[in-house]
Amino acid sequence: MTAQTQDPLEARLRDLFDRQANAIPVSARAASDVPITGVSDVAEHTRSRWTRGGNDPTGPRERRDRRKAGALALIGAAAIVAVIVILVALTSGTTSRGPAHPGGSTTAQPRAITFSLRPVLSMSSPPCSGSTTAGSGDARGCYTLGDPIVDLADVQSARAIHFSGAQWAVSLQFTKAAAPRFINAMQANVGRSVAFVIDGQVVLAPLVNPGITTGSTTISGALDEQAVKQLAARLNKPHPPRPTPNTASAVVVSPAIGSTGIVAFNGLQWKVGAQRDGSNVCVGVTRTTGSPGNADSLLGPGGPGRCHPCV
Amino acid sequence: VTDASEVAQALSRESFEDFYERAWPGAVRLAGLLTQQHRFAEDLAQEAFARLFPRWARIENPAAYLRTTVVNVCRNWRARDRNERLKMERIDVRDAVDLAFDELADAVAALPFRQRAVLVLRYYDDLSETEIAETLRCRPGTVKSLAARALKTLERVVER
Repeated sequence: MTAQTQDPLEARLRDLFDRQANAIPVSARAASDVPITGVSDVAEHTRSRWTRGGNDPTGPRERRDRRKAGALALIGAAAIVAVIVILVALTSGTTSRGPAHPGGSTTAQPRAITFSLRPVLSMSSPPCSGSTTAGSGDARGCYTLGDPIVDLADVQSARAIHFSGAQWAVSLQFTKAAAPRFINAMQANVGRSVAFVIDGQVVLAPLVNPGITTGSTTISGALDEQAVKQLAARLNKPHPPRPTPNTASAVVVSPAIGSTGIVAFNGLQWKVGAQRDGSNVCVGVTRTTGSPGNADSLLGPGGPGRCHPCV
Repeated sequence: VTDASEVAQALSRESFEDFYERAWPGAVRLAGLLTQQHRFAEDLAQEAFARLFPRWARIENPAAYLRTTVVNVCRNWRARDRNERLKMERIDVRDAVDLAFDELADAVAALPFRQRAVLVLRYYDDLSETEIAETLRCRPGTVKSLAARALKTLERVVER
């Protein structure tokens, strides 16, 4: 049965949902909470999905597998470094400096960071000569790098993700335009290394595995939680503003006793009513979009309207 | 954004930021009603927006897409959490609304996810059967039977 005949159960359900909905806090958060990063305990189950695009070993399924995956990631990161160290070749190459595409990385970016992903042409041990790029952390060494494959302007979003324990990584999603470029480059570089260059330093130079078919990847390694979160925030596009909290104080309504009125707020229509109940005055507010008439049911003794003694 | 119609669509549509701001409270409330737990409602809504964001340029009906995403996020979350579903968490919504002994609220919270989702979408969001079917990615007939089962359960509780 649809909405014409308001059977009692239906009316009670509407009333229940309205009350529950109004009781759900809709708060504002600090601007530093990057919405698109959205990492919280509750989002834990989806993390594996976010990272599946890259060569991340995290399985999509079991919660307990993630612990193993974290350990694997650790071992994997160590293996990558070992492989790079073993594969040291002393070729001299040119380090290109320009952006991957004209006008790319330097367009009005409030993100004070430089980022590019470049193929590693060769690697040598420190001290680094002028034409090489120094690595830090797990990626210590001197790298001779090819042209950038993608850079900051190609980053659609960046997220901090948590594997387990102290294992954190930054998950990068590239833009629609850049994704094919990234995928092609990864396929062309299978078995070779690519370098994540951030602020002029190679922070990670993983070996490219076959099977990168989506425009996302992860940066992990010897990065702690704080470093990962900062990195993700800096790589991220400036995020949308947090919506303002839905507080009743934002609207001042003074319905006449015994009448109801409609106000528009938060993109919805709200019905406001006031009614006298003995020596009390009761005020009810309800969303009217689609289900008119509820305000009336909110009023009156025992209803969920707010009643105050008359002053 | 590749072809002209997509460009036109992208230009004529509101920005993600505006939509985010406008649709945020609704998404949080929907997540709270679907999961019957307000503690995580914002996180779940946030998750939905995060999924929406990369696809923004290609989404034709943002409101419907958001709704489906919120439902999916909440459903997956429930599935994950089934073992740890605590009565405590259900009480969250109730406490705040002063419904401590509302048998209907209890019964709604105890419904299987899809049955509750149909009720919420129908009585809170006032969606039609077709819209609910699209949101839940099922046939209208399924919506009908889910609703019938849910209402039957609730009727039994209310009349007792």
